[in-house]
Amino acid sequence: MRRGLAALGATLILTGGTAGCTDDGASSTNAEPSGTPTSEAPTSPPTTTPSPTSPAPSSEEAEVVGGTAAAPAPVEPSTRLLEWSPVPQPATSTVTRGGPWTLTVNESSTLATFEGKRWRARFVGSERQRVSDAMIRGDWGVVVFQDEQETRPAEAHVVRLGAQSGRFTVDGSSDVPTTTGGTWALGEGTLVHATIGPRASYCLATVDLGTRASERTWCAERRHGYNGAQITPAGTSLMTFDDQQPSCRTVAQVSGHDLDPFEGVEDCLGWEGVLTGDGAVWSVVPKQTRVEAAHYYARDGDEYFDLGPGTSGTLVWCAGSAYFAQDPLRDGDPARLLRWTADRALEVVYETQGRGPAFLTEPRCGGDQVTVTALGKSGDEQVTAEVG
Amino acid sequence: MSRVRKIAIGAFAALLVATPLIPRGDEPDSAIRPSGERETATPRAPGPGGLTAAMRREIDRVVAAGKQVGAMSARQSPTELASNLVRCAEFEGQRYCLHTGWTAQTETAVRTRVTTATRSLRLSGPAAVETTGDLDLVDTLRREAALSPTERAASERAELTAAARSVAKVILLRHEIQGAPLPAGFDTRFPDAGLTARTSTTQTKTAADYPAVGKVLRGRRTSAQQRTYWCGPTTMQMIAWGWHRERKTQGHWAGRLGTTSSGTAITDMVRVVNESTGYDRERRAGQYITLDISDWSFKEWSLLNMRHIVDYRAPLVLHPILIKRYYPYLDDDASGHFQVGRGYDKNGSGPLKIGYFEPWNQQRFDPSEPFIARVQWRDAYRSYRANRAHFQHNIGV
Repeated sequence: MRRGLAALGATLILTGGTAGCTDDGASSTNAEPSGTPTSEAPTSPPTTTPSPTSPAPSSEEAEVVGGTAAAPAPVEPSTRLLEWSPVPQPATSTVTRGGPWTLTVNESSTLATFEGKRWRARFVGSERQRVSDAMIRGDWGVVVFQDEQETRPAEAHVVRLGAQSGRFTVDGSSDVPTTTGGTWALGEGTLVHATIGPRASYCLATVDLGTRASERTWCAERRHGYNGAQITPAGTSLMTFDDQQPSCRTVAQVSGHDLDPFEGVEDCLGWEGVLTGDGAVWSVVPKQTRVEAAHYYARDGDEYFDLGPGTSGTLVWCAGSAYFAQDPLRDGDPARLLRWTADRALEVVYETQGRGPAFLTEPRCGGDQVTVTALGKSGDEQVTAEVG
Repeated sequence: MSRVRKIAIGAFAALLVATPLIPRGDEPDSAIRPSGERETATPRAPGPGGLTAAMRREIDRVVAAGKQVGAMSARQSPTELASNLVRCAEFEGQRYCLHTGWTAQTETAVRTRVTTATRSLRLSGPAAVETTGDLDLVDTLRREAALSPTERAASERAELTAAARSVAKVILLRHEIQGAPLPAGFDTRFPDAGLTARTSTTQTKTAADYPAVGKVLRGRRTSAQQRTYWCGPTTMQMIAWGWHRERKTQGHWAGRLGTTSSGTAITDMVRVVNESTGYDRERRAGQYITLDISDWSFKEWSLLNMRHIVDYRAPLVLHPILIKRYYPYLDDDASGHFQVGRGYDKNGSGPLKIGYFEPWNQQRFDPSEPFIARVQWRDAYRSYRANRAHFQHNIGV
């Protein structure tokens, strides 16, 4: 988000104005359906309620059979809680762990610290900067600072973990420059970020961290934007959208300079997605008036699976599985972290303690460990578990 | 005409006659009443009360303390600004602190909180995050510091007077929702508060006494903020639009609120709701107040929302911090923010949800974020935590 306007932003503003913003007009998409007072109220939770007591599937169990894109097979999650360890940092900070490394962003997002045995690197932004993204993957760590009000290009500090050399910066002066705000993602030796291309188009840039070579790849159509970039061994994905109200949102795979929409995703309702070995995991947000209430799906080959409700903006790929958070489905239920594994298992791997209200923030993957922050009436905690 | 046809026509006619009696959820007055078995009184907020002699003396004392400070500079440190400008008054045992509102904390604690938070903000730069439009307290204090001593005294007197006249509402909210004891002789000193009718023969309402769903304001009467720092004017625009059924421009409300490029103060939001709508009437929410909710549990906060929507039939001025931790759909963190609280949904067996109007249209300002609808429903606990996470942790009710 920004106060300053990038070139493409100006395009979007113009079109947004014609869609009803500049005269304060309420768009038709804001309209509540006429009728009962509950017409815009959230619906009851779907029936794919996880059973905390259901046993974990054994290897002898028959493989889960999927459905079609139109009728994906519902999958009941089993509970297979991971061995979670609390991180020493307070829950107000944001921690990511990977291998021997711990990355901590302080509460005010002014400081990011990488720590390992006998090695430490601290990144403090200038007076007018703040950490917007901080990631670990393999031997690499990245801290992104955004400028105050996002009027200047973002600045990413790339560090080879444990090494005394090999640091470099990706910023507005790079061969393929950064822009203000936008999505960032870190894969094994690869970094992607937003950039501005020809004729003010909004494009994706890929940085090979080993060679430091940058390349502008796919560019969004005119009057389109994108976010939610994710890198897995199967490729890079993102969500692109147009400037309509509501936006038509499409989850897609980046293939060089092209974009291939995920198969089987309901038109215009996609929110985020990751590529798996021979498929994908994604979410849709069906109701404009409940933007945080997503529904997750998976495809494996030609088979489709209904993974149930989850929280939008929480999908993360980590060590061969896709993780996402789920708010309590019933009063008194815990908030949960679920994962969809390569062998078609949907597992509850973390639950909040106590019966009070709770929710999870976006999980963080450091390659072989996943870290999650839970905020709840019974207490806040930040815990990590080995998954690799 | 066949008998069946006559019966059908008769039934249709009866339905037409009865239709006006069916509650319409989109109307501000249409919150559905529960059919609870308990006899509960419908709480109404007391209107503005008179000033007692004790209140006048207290106002004089606090204003005089400010005069002793004399001329100030907007360039003073946060500590100096807080210690000189955040002064508290006691009315009927309730504490009101200038620029921050009604609180259960001590004056020292409030000043420390303000200083700590503002230092943190200053460390990350004067505007190190995108601000959607709530005025950070340092800027509020700097604005006050820039006034002449006479102007500042007048401003403080007006704020304290409005607070003193609303003290009965604070006392009743804390008594009926938080269970705080009433001050001795309250019903005698505030006969218009309706206390006797409310509590002598009936029970105080609990969440169970409220209907499954409640909401006010029409979803069509919403708008997106036109400037990044206009969440205050846009929130005010939607609230006033709900009352007057007529929309005034955001520029109009920015002027009334004293909004600058740094944003809008919550005390100004509360002031203008009282000045410019009828939601402050006794049969509605009574005079709006800025209430510190740092000592309010989630259950109490939820009940406050229900009371406001169903009993007061009036919107709330929500005051969260708009960051990814609490709003996971965001692409990046923003700032303190205003929203229009306008409903709740008990959600069957699911967790409580609240409904609100979101003035921030991220699509308007950023090519990396899609459109978000103005009408939103979400997990109430997330909003409670976002409200508490704002360093001012207060709300306009």
